[in-house]
Amino acid sequence: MTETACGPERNPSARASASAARVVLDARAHWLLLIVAVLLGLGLIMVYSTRAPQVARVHGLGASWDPLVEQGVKILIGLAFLAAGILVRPSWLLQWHKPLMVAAVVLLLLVCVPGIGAKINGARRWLVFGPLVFQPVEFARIALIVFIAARVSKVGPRIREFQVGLLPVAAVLATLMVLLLLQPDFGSTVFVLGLGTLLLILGGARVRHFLIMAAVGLPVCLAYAVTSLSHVQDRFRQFIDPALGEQAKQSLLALGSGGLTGADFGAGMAKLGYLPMISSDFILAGIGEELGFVGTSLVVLLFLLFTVLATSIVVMQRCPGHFLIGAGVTLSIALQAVINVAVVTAAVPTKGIALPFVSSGGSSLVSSLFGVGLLIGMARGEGGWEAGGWARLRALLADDGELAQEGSHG
Amino acid sequence: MMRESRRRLLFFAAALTLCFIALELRLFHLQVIQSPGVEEAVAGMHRQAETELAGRGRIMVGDEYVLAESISAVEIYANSSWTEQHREQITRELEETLGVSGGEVRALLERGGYRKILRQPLRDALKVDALWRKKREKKLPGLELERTWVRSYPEGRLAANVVGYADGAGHGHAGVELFCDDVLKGTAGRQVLERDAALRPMFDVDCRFEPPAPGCDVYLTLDMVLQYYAEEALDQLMEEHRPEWATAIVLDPRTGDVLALAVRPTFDPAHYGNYDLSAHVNRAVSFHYTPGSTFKPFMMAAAIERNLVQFSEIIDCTTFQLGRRSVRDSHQNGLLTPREVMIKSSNIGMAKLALRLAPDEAVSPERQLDGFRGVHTTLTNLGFGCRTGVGLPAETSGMLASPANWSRAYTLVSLGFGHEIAVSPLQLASAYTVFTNDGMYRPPRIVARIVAPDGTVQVQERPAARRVFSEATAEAVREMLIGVVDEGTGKSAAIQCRSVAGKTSTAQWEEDPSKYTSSFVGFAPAHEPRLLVAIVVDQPRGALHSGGMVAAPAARDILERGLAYLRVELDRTY
Repeated sequence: MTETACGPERNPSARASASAARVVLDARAHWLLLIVAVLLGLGLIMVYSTRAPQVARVHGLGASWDPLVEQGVKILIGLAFLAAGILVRPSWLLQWHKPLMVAAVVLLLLVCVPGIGAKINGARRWLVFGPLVFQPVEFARIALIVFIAARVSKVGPRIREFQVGLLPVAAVLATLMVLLLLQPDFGSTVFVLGLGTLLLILGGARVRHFLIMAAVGLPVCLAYAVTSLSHVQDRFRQFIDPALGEQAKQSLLALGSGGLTGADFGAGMAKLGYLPMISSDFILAGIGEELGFVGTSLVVLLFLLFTVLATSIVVMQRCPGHFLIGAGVTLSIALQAVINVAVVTAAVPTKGIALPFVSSGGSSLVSSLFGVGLLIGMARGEGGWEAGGWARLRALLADDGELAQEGSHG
Repeated sequence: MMRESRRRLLFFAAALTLCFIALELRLFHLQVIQSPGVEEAVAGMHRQAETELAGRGRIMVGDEYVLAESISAVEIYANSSWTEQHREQITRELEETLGVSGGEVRALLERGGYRKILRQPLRDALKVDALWRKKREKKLPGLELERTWVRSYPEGRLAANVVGYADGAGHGHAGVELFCDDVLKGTAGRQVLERDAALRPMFDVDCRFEPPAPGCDVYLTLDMVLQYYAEEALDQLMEEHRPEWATAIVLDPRTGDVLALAVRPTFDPAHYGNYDLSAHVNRAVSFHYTPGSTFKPFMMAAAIERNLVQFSEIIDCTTFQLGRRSVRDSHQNGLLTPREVMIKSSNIGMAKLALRLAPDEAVSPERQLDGFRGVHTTLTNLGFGCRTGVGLPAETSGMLASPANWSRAYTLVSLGFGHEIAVSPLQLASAYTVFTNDGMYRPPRIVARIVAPDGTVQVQERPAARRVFSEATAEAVREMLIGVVDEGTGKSAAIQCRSVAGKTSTAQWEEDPSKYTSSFVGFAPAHEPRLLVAIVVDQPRGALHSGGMVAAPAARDILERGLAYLRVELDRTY
């Protein structure tokens, strides 16, 4: 398969089916949108609930609606990107994978420039353009997905060879990781590494190569992280000794005090300074406290459904580029959710990973919703479910054709 | 190839699904199974009950004398995490309103943490008002004002050992402050607040505020004028005779009400911490001692009551021998009538009279024991060996052995002149009411009534009087006691133109013969008593140590001035 196989000059029948699906969206796309809408709505009211008291304390009672408006605006911007994701052709993204990656690297470098990069809580993770605050790592994530998808579909089966296939991608991945470690953002570094690895394995890279690289790289990375990054040290120590992990402790207290049905919307106490990151990384604890197990289990269930639906869309993609972009988006969102919930329930050490669609961060919302847009775009046309359903999936799984041959089936 | 990729994706998706299910289970565990314990812990962390101390009730004498009262005050707290940006402003405002040194305030603020600004609560009403005003005008950012109370004792040392003292937290620790703590302290107000992590109050949880209920006022039976006389008499006595301790008790002989109770050494309740603990003790009720001769009238009365004494009989008071034990008098006496035995305070005479109270062991041990029991019952009825229930804490019951433990007749002989028994000064004074009340014993009382904040009066009923001796017996002994003052050991208690009855005592310490406890109990006017005074002086160190020379003059002072103050008519012409 060549890159062009996924391009605009695909055969007329495929085009016809695509234009037909433009009118009737796939049912799974509806469900996907519904899930995302529920999560967005929940995030909106919970961000409002968890931020309003402190905002009201600082700026007066009149300002207590500000968090709601702010989060609403972020969601609207995110929805605009969702629309853009639906409209943009994945093949276009694949063509532009190099400039995209260069832009990501430049943005990550800009973070280190005083005046543009903002230092918050001892880390330089944010870019400030006037009223706009933006986290480049969210852009880098999309860029990485696109880059790997493009590389894999370009080299095809030769991805199995270390030097030709894997090494260039691994070099780019390593560059990103180094830049993220400089911020420092240990959580995102690990996340980017994990996402890249999973995508490359999906693309056909040999697991053995990763094991060898991990055997060499992991001890070095961990040693660096544990010895040089004080906040990582702290978190490791806290995880080993729960008494030290105030955030994790407060998170568990918030969850536990919520019980089955919660303390009622707005009645939580953790937001009153007890759990500092409650509106962003620990929003699930806020949900658990105010809406109880009913609320948290709904969130987890929605993410589970999201993962299943998105996978079902991605798995039917014929083009490897589309397939890998879709898989990257799906894995990225699902992995973030898993890690976030695991952090909030103190199952893993504390890391700064947002809960997609729900947490208050704007950059995370934009990148996640753009990804959802891409998925919905893929759900049209050839990825469509109506024509064939399970039977087609089985056929696809049984098809032993090479990646390169897939596209030319027509 | 693509097939493999699809399979791998499905594998990843399945793994993620399993992760979600595992997390779902973890959430269930945390939120449903472990929840009940957590909810409690969290409530304790977020909620804080604010208590507002109730004003403590007053201790009053009549309506004009306030012995103890609580004054509203303000405590100022600073939490460094809120005051950090406002140090200069706070320092300036406090300097201006309170006139405190700015440097000290600043140093305190800079030291950080949660601190009291002033060492003592602020009592000055004008400054307090100014402070609240500034607080309302938001000129004191980050400072917390807390209403509190300061205990004040306007009469100072007057009746200090009766009043006792309460600490800064409003807990009584001695005297009436301790004994009536339950009624004085009131109920603290309570409000449950939710606080944020910086301990700033957020919301009133259930908007339930129970306002503090102030305590009740306690009215004492004391008479402040008599109390003052008693204090003055003791001060003079302390100066002249430098005893270890001394106490003066004035009772209303008709009712048993305590009219005055003074103790030396004493203390200032407002600064109780500056005094030794021994100064806080009310020795009139908490200490017991061997009464000696002041006890003789009761044994004499017991003998008269049992018709064992002929007033005209002659008792040989030269020597006394019981087994190997002999009894001596302080000076040699000869043949005395019972009245003279009392007047001259003859131990030999009393020993011989006491022996009559029980048959000899040789006659019948059982009947002897019955005799002992009779004496014991009489003494118990007089209040010896049990607490008087006057209404003061840490009361001693004294020491009175039960007849089964008596060393047979020896104890009876010793009791005859007030040994082998220990009494508190108040027990002794109260027992003398049998002579002023025609044989009826009047238990003492010090709390007259308790008045609730809403005006409800709860009168403390006087305990019932009980008959111990017949009217005739009491009258007979009273005549003897008049004799003691008129012509016997108690001459220095005599007051011109007034009849005084009383008995002295100079009890030599058995464990150290160089030490004495000198005392005097007396009342006047003798036939229609209005005041009963007991003076107990422990270890007088001056040239004189006898009860007649040490204690009786102090009693005389109190009686003379007291009767004049009460406008009691003179009852004698000489």
